[in-house]
Amino acid sequence: MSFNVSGVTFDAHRCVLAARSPVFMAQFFGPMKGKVNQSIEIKDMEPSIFKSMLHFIYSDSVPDLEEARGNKDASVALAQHLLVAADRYGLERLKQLCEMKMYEFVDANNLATTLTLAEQHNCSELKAACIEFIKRPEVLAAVVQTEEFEHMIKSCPTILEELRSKNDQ
Amino acid sequence: MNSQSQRRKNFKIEAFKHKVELDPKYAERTWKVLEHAIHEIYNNNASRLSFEELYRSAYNMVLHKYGDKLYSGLVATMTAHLNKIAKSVESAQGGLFLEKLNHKWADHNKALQMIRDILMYMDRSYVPTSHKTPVHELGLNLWSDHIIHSPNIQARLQDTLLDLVQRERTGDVINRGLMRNITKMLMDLGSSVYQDDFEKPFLDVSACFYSGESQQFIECCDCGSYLKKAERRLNEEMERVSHYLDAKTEVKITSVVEREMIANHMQRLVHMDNSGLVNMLIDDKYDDLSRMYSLFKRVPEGLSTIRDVMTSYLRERGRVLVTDTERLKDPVEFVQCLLNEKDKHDKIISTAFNNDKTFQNALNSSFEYFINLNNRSPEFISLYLDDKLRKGLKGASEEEVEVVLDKVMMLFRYLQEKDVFEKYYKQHLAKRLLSGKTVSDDAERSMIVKLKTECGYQFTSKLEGMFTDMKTSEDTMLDFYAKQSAELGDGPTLAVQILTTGSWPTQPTAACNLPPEILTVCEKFRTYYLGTHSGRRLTWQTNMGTADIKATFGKGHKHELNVSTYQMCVLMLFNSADGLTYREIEQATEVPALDLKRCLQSLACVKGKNVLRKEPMSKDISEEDVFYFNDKFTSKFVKVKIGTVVAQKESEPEKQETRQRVEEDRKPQIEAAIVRIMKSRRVLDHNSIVAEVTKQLQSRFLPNPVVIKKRIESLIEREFLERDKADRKLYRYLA
Repeated sequence: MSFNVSGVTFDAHRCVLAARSPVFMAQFFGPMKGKVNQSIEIKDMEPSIFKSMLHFIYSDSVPDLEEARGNKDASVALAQHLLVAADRYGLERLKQLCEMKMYEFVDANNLATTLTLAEQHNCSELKAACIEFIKRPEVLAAVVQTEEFEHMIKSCPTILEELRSKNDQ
Repeated sequence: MNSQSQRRKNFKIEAFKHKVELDPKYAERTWKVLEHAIHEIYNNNASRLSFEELYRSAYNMVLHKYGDKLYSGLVATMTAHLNKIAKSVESAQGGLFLEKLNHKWADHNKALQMIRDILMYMDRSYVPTSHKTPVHELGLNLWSDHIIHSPNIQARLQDTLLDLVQRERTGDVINRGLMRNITKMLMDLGSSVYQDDFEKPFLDVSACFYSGESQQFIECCDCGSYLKKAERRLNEEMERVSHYLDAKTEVKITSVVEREMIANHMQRLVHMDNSGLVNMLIDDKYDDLSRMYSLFKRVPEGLSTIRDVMTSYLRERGRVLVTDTERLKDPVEFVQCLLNEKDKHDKIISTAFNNDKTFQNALNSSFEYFINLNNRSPEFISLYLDDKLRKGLKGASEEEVEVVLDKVMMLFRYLQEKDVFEKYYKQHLAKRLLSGKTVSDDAERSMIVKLKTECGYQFTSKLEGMFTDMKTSEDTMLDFYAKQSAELGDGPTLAVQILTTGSWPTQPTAACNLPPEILTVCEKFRTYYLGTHSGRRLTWQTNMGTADIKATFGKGHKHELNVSTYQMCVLMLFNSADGLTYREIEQATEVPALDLKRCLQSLACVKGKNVLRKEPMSKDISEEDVFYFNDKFTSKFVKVKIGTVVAQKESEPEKQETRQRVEEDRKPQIEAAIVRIMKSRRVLDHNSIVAEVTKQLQSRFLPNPVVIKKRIESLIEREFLERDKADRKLYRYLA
């Protein structure tokens, strides 16, 4: 069957998808499957990300993540997007791969975004690691200056509390 | 950046940013979409819904921190629907109540699954962190709270279910499939729901039911029928569980039935007049017994109750058997009776009691108890064997012989006084061998082997000696006649059995006067024997021999008489005199008085064997009697047997004598045991000696503690032991 992601079409097999993701399983083989739809529209996701996710579903690996090693920022960005997708579709192992990648390349610039994502998508280990990292005064000083820091505070207000309480320890 | 990798990329990926939703109505809008979906699902209208859209909506709500709203909205919506369903179920009439409930339950499950799928993201990320109940479980709990435990439904449901069970128990047919669905529903809602709302009341009601029913049955049924009914009910309940109850209920309901129908009435059943356990045993009611066994096995103390009643019955029955004076007149019958009882109960235990070892043991201990109540049991068992080996086993195959001997061995094992048996067996065997009246040498040998296996070499060494003597005597006689044939000529033929003293049972011998006609050949034999065996002493045992005499009566009738040695001595006198007085006979033969009287009695007073005539013609022999050769004797047999030396039940004085000898024999055995024990232990107290001695000797007999004490004192006198100076109860071995 095929997926329409912001105008880009992707083909895939129902059984493979259902075998790998509980969400797809419910969608294609659960009581809600309804009439057999040939095409499904996917919203709120970039086509390139959907492509990488499909690749993972079929081959259990994400070569793009490895390839982008040369470019750290691109690698981190990809990992961030994939994390969200993995969380949405219940792909635990993909989620873990992304977490590891993000942790590998964490720095003052991307920390705020990483921490936000970790908080929103229930990545407790990644979140704890980030908080540890931010405790370093030089890191904290740098992070506070970023745009992303403001965004983080707006979208996840509780983090500030946690930072404050952890700092007091 | 590597230009190559950049070309491969189709689009650049920017660092991620979740958008922050600023629209306050966003949550409400999104929730409404989901709420609508839930309504549609409950109204069986789900086909037009899009999973993708709904899943995404729920996902977004949770992501944007509206999980609380989503969850509480879910609870409220579901609850509203369930309340509607509750009313619908409540309004169902009579029999349709359960069906309606079942139907709605199926619907609810289907709806729940759909809802759970749509809200999967919430289940995975919001629910754990906020410690709420997952969707599926929530659905079940709400169903429990608003339907099952709704005040108008809860009691009605329980009553309906229990009522159906009751109807089925009284013979109606009910819808088992529906029942099964309902109980399965309760199990799905949680085992505590199943137990509280159904199982506990079910068990209580069942206990009441069976208590009443069992009371009713026991008033009007005999034991066998009652047990059949109980068994049927038990099977019914197990079947009920397998069809529509949870498997874990089986052991609980069966124990209710077991308690109410069996355990509570055990004593009454077992002791029921005319139909209880004892009657079943007497009448060989294998079916009933088998049923009782398997039912009673299920309850505590069940089997031990059966066993105890059986044991006391057997002991009493046995006691009656062994003290029944009528039966005791015939020892062979007596033993046969015991064997029959054993067979009967062996069969009961193997057929109905599953060969239960504890029952075997109870049987054995009962037999051991009553067999030893009669102290003539050892003698009688030996007499039984004597009868069998003498004629009873004639024509029997080897297997049949073995079977009989093995059964007798079983009885032998129960005897406490095995040494008494040994004494009698020896006597009886001696008589069998000497009169040549044994049915099969192999059977005799087989018996010896069995006794040896059971009691050891000591027990049977003398018995084996007796067989050896018989064989040796045969060889000796052949040799004697071979060497002496010339000298013997036409004299009477002698057949001597040479018995080694010690192997054979001792009898006091008073030699009588042998008639001159045979004295010669007897002397010749004595000379011959002592020639080859110097240093030995031979004594004629005139009380044990037999003789074949050719006699001619009036009108020339010839008969061959087979008589005892004593009888021969008496009869030969009449070759030289027609009539003799008692005293003349006594003087001439020197046969002891008691034996002479018996001997004359069998020659003169027994019809068909009266080769002598007595005056007066009274039954008893008095010292004034006169005896005449009976010319008028007739018999249709050419060979007439008079007075065979058959083993008989001992008379009272004989019995006393034997017992005396047994007691005498026991003394040295006890002493030997004491010495053995003291030699190894060196120092021991009185009670321990008694215990040890008993233990050592119990395979032969049960020593009397008084006798043991006397033996100890005797050993002290003879300086084998000494008393301890300080403690009078302590003894020491003197090397």
